[in-house]
Amino acid sequence: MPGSRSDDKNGYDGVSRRSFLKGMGTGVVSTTVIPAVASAKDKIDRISQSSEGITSANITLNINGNDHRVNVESRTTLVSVLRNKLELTGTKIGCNNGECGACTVLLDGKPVYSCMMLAMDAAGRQITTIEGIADGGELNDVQKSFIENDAMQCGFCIPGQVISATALVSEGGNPGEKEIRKAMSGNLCRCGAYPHIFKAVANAAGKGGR
Amino acid sequence: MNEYRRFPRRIKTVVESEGDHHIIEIELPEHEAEVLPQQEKLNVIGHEIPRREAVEKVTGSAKYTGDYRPQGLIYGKLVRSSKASALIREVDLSEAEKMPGVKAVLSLSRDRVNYVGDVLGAVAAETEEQAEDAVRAVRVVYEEERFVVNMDRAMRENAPKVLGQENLGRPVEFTRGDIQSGFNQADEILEGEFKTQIEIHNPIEPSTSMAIWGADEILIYDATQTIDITQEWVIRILKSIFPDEDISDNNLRLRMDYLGGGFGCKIGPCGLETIAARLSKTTNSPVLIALSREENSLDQGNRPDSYQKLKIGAKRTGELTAIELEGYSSVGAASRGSDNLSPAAREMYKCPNVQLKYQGVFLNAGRSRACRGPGHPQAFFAFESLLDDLAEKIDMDPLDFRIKNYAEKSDGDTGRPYSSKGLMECYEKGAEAIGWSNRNQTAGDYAGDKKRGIGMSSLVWTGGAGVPGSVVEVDLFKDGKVNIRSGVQEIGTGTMTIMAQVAAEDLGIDIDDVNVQIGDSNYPPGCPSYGSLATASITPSVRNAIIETLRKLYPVVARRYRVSEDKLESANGVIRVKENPSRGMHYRDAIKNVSESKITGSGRRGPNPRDYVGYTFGAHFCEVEIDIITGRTKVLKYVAAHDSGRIINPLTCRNQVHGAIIQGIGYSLTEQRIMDNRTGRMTNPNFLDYRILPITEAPEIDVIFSSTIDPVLNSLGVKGIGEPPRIGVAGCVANAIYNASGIRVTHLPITPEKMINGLKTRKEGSS
Ligand code: FES
Ligand code: FES
Repeated sequence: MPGSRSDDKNGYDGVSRRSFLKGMGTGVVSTTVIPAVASAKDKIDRISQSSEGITSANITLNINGNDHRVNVESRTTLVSVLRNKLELTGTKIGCNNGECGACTVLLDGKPVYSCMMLAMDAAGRQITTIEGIADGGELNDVQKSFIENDAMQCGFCIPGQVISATALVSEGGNPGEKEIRKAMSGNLCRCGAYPHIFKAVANAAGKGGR
Repeated sequence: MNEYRRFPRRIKTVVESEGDHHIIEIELPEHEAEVLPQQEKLNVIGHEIPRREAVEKVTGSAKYTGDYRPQGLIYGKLVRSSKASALIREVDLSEAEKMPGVKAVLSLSRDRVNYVGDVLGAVAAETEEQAEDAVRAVRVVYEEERFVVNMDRAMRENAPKVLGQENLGRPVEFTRGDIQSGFNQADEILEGEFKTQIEIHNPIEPSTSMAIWGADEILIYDATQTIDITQEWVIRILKSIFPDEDISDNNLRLRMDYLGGGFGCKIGPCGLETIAARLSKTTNSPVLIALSREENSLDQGNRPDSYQKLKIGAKRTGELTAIELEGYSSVGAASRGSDNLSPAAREMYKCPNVQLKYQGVFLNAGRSRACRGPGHPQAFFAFESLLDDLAEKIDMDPLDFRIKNYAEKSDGDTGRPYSSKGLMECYEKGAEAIGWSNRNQTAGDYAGDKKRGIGMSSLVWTGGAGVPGSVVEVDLFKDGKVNIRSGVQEIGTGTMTIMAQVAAEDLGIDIDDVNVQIGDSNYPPGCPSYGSLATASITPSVRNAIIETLRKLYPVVARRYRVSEDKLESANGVIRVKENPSRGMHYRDAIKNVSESKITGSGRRGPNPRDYVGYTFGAHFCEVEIDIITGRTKVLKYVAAHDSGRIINPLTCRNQVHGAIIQGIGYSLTEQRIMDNRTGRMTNPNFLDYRILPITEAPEIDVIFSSTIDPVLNSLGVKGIGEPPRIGVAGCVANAIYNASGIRVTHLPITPEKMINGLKTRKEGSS
């Protein structure tokens, strides 16, 4: 109201997305739906209640084949643990809200948005990040194809793109143009490197780009 | 003091940046590289070479500003205004300070805020989540004032005054010839009103800074398109806050390995640098601040909207006789001028009589900033739309109409000559690639539920010649390997790769033997990554630096062949006797005869030629399909033909053109900042409601480069490419939509709703 005084407790009143997120389960890339299996319980061995009502727990996350013990709050997202606790910063944050795909990782082989997944819900699952996507020490076919076809500009969306493409290609089954585009539609690229990304994915899937 | 900041031998030269022209004084290079030979003789330049950082980018090891994790890192978050216009009575940080993990709070002591998202202060905490909690605990007492967040309302008489002054900024005016006599000569005159929306740059990497205030050095990692400019600004601000501290470019260092896109919103400081530095000083810890998507949308800049009243007159035979434009663009709560709305009207076509006036309008909203081709996409959308209508009116093919008014010289054929202009070739090749002759001869004359049509647009980027001044340093090592370094940025365009290509070419070595070092203010000053100027600025410097460095080996070669040094020259790494080129040695052999472990030299780029205007050109064509049931437009095929001079790396260059077109289609069809007049808030500061194009909507894109090698601008014949392909898209898409449907949409974005309304009106009109 013009001229009136108002008291704004928030300063800047964005809704607390994390409290909203709590208990929501898995963020999913594109149209591939993954049920939010509540298998985390057995992996959580100590739950403590802090004074603010935020619970924290020690959990074990299996990332790129290695177990990591971390203490997380119930509201902590997987991407936050990856980037800030484990220093796996290859996974990016573009929106932190399930809209861009920069944070895509594989969960039991399927692409998910790690910003939309609570770390506790990822306990006991197999997580693969961009740092672990290569075949052993060697780049995988998707990575090689991205390099050859210059499927990148600034590169900020690229870890997410490579993860989604790897998931698609490892499904096998000769995806067609529509399937490729659909599978990659959850990964935005503001640089608009899409034509080269498409070609890279198509080549890696053994189809040959247009 | 960075030694390269001293300029002993000075000369005045014209430079353009983001469409504006300035005269500056620069130092002349000692020696200028010779013009490159034709393409067939080149081994590395002009070849498709994958970018050198590709492996880092596909493995996640490429470090962006938010990816460093120094010991003891804490996280900063900003306290922002939730009101569009208010006096600040109190910012109470006491609760926030007591929150778990909080290490510091900072008030910027603002007495008023001018838009939602305006910064009031900051907090730093051990985790990002704790910092967010603390921000929510800050209590702000506002005294709210009236505000205005949309341009049409801001121009009304009793509108709230945004910056305490008139909401209309100072107009830019331009006149050529006599507008009245121009319209008198016209057989047909058309007038139109056009509106374009506000675009948010939205790089996927939001603005980010990290500061480490150490005893000997203040180190700032920053997501910036301009390392040098940002460093200068940060020094100036910090000095004003801490007058007793010794802060200079000796101890304040700015670094950035990779930038996650910018498109203009990372030109200059993002404002986080000094806040992170202050929090770091207080806490004695490294502080990282990464903005959210919402914050980035609210106050990291935008392309201003525009309202343009345009009038064009032509003879029945096709000659343009007069162009008149009145334009406005809202610039937010900042005393920034309007975007340059002149280039289409003033520059693109031969026309003796032109009158232009355009000005900025202030709003209680985040400020506008240069956005990929500032002003140009707005101007070309309006101009090329009305031009097509005029072509129809005089019954002339739109391509013929454009060719009829082809300007050989700048300023609508009245000014200095262009350094080069390969637009005619672009018209010809582009028209052929799209199948221009297949377009509907009558607009909307396409049977079926899905209407198809073809349209086009010309474009000029009033820039792209590059700027002088960038310095490159070269180390030659005994094993033949080379370092080249300069404080430029890798924004995603492949700058490092083209620098390596040029060095490898001129040194006659394998590109893998060239190591490129960039992204550090401790390196010699480079050029900014904006204005499509990086390639044409830095690559001539690389060449001149190599010459200077090789000259340091001239004594060795002179002794060997018993000639004086002035009888020597260098080519492809071979230092040889001018008069007898078979007598010479490669630097790898010459360097074995010196005692030092490496030879280091440097060179800089020369001035732009006085007598020419260096601009870049293009012609765009596209085919669209409109579903008349849903109103949806789909771009089926896009052809972008460009004259950007010599293309150093067609692979990365093509990629950049694709990206600009995809952004441009988003601008044409879906993107739009929406402000709520009631609350003063942006309603779509996210990717859900602000829709940038996903891969499913990216068309087939055919990129054509003209054979132009610019003969005068620089020794490589290169011009810029970054912005030009953004410029023609909206006009091209709008014209194709008209050709398909007979509906002229004059307000961007061209949404399904506007198409349905248009189809309805048209149907009613014809029945
Ligand atoms: S960061 Fe997770 S979807 Fe954008
Ligand atoms: S490469 Fe820049 S966002 Fe995709």
